[in-house]
Amino acid sequence: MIPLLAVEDVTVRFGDFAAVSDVSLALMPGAALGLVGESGSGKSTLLRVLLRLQAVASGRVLMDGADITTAREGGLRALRRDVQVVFQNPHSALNPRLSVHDSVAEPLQIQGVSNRQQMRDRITGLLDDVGLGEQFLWRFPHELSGGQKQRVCIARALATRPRALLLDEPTSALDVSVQAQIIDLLRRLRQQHNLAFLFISHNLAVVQLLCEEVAVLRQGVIVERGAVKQVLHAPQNPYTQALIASVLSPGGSRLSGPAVCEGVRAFGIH
Amino acid sequence: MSDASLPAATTVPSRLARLRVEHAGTIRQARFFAWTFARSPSAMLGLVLVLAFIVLTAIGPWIVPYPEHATGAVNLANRLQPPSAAHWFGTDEMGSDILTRVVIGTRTSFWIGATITGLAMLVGVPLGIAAGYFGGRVRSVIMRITDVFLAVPGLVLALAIVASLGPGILHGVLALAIVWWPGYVRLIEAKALTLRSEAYVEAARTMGASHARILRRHILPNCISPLVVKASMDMGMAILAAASLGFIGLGAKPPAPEWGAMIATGRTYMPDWWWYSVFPGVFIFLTVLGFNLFGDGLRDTLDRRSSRG
Repeated sequence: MIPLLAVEDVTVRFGDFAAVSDVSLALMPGAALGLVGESGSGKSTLLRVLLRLQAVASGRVLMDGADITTAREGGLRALRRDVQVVFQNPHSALNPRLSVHDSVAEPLQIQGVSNRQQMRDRITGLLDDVGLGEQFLWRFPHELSGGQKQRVCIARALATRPRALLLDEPTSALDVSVQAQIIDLLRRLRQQHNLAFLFISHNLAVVQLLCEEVAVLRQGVIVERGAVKQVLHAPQNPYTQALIASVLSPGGSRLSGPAVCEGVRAFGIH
Repeated sequence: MSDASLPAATTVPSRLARLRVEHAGTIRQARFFAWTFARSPSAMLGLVLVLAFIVLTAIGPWIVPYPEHATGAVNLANRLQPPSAAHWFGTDEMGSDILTRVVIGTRTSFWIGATITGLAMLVGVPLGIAAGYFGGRVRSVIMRITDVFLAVPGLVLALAIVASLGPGILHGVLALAIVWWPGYVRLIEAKALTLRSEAYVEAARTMGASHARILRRHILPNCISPLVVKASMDMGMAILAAASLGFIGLGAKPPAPEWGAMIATGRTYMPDWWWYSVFPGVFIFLTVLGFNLFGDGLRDTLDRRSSRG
């Protein structure tokens, strides 16, 4: 099977500093891949590379097998439609001057939907999908809670009927009680729309809830990868072990399978 | 049959009702702004002064007692009369009514202020956007040129320009506009630079939005608040600067009804014929004060973060 989105031997430099070195990663259609690592490990840079917001020093970016490393905006139409992003901080991810309707309408307008009623129905449907009623349609971001804003961001990301969502720590700026709701929502949406997820987090426990596979990134290098259960239960790399140990669990014991889910639900995600 | 058509008719919302629903958030926000603005006495004083200035500009020629004195009638029998019932602000050395000339002078000041600010924005905003949003070499070039202009005191540079073009109100306005735009480049460049890396701009890029669309939907609307605030303040400052040019004889020339030029002529009659200089001076003072207080109030309302910082 051809990966929906992939990087091959990608290196990104900021001056002399290599934020990402020789990383290869593939996201299969419908799969959910976690990408974990501490801050500064290069997770977000890699995500920006996949979105073609960040130029690479070397390596290739592939979509459906086609090289899009240096494609101009005209050649990125498929990427702009099929791959959408949800950012970490919903407070800055929405233009404060646009109502919920206008924010969600933007991707539709870019895709060329111009019929007013059609647009309206589509937006109402999208908001419904993320659990927001019609009363939110004309609100401004400052009139929404953090969780509601993140739902709007997810609705906006789904507007183009993408095949993949790139999620950049979508829950870490939210209250713990809201985090679990957003995770639940993402799980449901993934099933409903058969989405592929690239889920970025510094928290292995959350990744376990959403992903089947995980890659651990440290200082721009992938140090471990594999099925989530395997990496979580029998981490090979000392860094992964430390990362797992740093996640709190009920009673202070090491995390384990179902207990993680329970712990996450009981205590919130951190 | 009529029964069937009724419900359909009532479910189709009227255009007004639809607009009211769709702009409910905007209306709420406008109400909040008005409320914040109205809570500040100095902002309201500014608003009153600015409104008075605009009203005088609009209807001045129809309310002044001696409209024919605006361009300098000669009535030497009546020269240098102190304020009286017939001439509230007294008369000047030609016997013209000073109230008339001062009120008509609002027109001159208004177009001077609006033209200078307008031209400065017209040049400064696109350059600021280009520098801040697109960055790169374009930015270095634009900002270095801007720095050169900002390094020289504005009024001094304007003096030099007028001196080389020759005195006159048009040259004065042109000279002031030439020294005024760099402030807008700085303001907009800084704003666009921060907006460019906002998450919602990046999100728009990942949706495939064109630069034109991002500028129109995301960058420009978010530049409006600081722009309106600066423009309001600059109206006052530009009027003051133009009056300064008039005062030293490089701007408007008598008998054109311009406040700076009037003060300059009246100065020689101080202090015995004090009313000649004082009333134009009071008008300059109130106008500049009004635009500044108004701009301050706008900043406290629209741009709350920067006023606290």
